Amino acid sequence: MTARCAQRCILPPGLLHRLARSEEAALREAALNALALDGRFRLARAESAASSLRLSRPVTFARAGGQPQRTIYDQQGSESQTPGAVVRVEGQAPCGDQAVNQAYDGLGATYSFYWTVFERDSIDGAGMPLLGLMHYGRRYPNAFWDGAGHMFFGDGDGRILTQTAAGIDVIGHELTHGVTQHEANLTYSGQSGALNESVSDVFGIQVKQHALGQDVHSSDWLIGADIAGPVLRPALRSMKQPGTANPHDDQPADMNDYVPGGDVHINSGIPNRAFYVVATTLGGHAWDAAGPIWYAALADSQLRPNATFRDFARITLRHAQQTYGAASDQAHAVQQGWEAVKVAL
Amino acid sequence: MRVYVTRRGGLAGVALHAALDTAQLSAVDATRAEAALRDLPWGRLPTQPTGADRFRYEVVTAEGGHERHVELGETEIPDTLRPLLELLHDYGQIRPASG
Repeated sequence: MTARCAQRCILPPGLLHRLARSEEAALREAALNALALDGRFRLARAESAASSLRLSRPVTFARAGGQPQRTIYDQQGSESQTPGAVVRVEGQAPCGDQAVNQAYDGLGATYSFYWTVFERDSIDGAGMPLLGLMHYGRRYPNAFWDGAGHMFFGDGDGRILTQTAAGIDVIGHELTHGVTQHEANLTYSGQSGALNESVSDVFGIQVKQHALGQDVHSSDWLIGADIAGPVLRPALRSMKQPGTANPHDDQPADMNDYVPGGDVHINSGIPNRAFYVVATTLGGHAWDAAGPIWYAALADSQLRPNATFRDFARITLRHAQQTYGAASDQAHAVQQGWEAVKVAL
Repeated sequence: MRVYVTRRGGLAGVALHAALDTAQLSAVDATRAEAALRDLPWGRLPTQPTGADRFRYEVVTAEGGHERHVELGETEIPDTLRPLLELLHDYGQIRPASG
C-alpha cells in the first residue's frame, strides 16, 4: 500500500484547508490529496460505526489484554448470593478441590478462546475479572450467571446433573451469558431468550472444541455431556439433532415445531442447529468462519434486545456477505443453515 | 395442605413437578411451611428474571376449592419452604418443558 502516511491522518482538516490555499503548488497538491484521503477515512469510519460497532463500548488504556483475572470462591453449600471464601486466585497452583480446579481451568480456557479467536478481553471486552462461585447450595443441580458478574456452580443432585464445573462447555456457556449481557443484552424470554440460550451453547461448544483441538466433524456437538446425571444421559442438548440428546429432550429442530411460549432452553434448538449446519457445511474448525460470523452478529448494534430468530439470521447473513463476499461459500453456508431450520431470511 | 410445585428453567431446561402435601413434613416443618404458603404473593404477575439459567418455581394450592397460583424466582423462596422443595427434588417427576 503506497499511499499509507500516518502524518496525513493526524493533521486536522482546518490546517489542511489552509495548506490547500498555499501559493506553493507542491504543498497545495499534497494538501488536497490529504484532504481527499482524510474524507474517505472519515466516511468509512462513520459507515463502520453506524453499521456494526456499539458506540457505547468503553475505551480502556490500562490493560494490554490476554491474561484472565480469575478468583474462585467456596460457597460451602450455602445459597448466599455474595461470594464466600476465596480458595484460588490467578496464578495459584491447583488446590485439593477438583471442582475449584475445573472452574479455574474452564474459565481460563474460555478466556483464551475469546481472546485468541476474537481478541475479546473477558466478559465485558475490558478485562472484567472472572468470578467462579463453587459448591453453591445443597445438591444443587444447576449452574447459572447471576447478571452481576458471578458464575455459580452447583454440585448436582446425582440424578439430573452431576458436578457442573466438570463441563468445559458449561463454563463457556455461563461466561457467554455475561458476554451477551454486555453486547445485545437479549431479553430472556420468547425468541430473544431462546437466542440468548443458543448463543451460550454456540460459544460453549466452541470453547470445548477449541480446548480439545476438535474440528467440526470430530466434535459430538452435545451440550452438557460431562455433567448429565443418569436421568438425562447422554447429554442435555444436541446441536446436531435437537430433541435426541436424552429421553426427555423435546427441543424442536426447526420452525415447524417451534413451541410458542416455550422455555428459552427449548426453542434454542432451532438456532443451535442452524449454527451446526453452517459450521459443518464449511468444514475445518467452527471458529474459522461460522464462529466469527455469529460473534459479529452478537456484537452488532442492530441486534436489538428483543430480536427474533429472523432478525439474528439476517444479521449473520449480512456479516457473512460483508466479510467474505456476497457469493462466498461462507454466505451460502449461512443461507443453508437458516433454510435447514426453516427460518425465512 | 396440598401443594403442586413445578420447577422450571435451569441450565438443563427440564421441568420437575410434584404433587405434595405439607403432611409429608415433620409437624414443625409443616406448620412453618403452611405459614410461608399463606404469605406468598398469590396472583402476582411473574417478574423478569435477572441473569440466566436460574430456576423458577410455580406453586399452586387448591384449599377449599379455591385455586391460587404464583411464580417465584429461586431467591424469592422463603427458607421455611425449603423442606417442601427437598421433597420436590427427591420425588419430582420430569415433565416435558415444552408443555
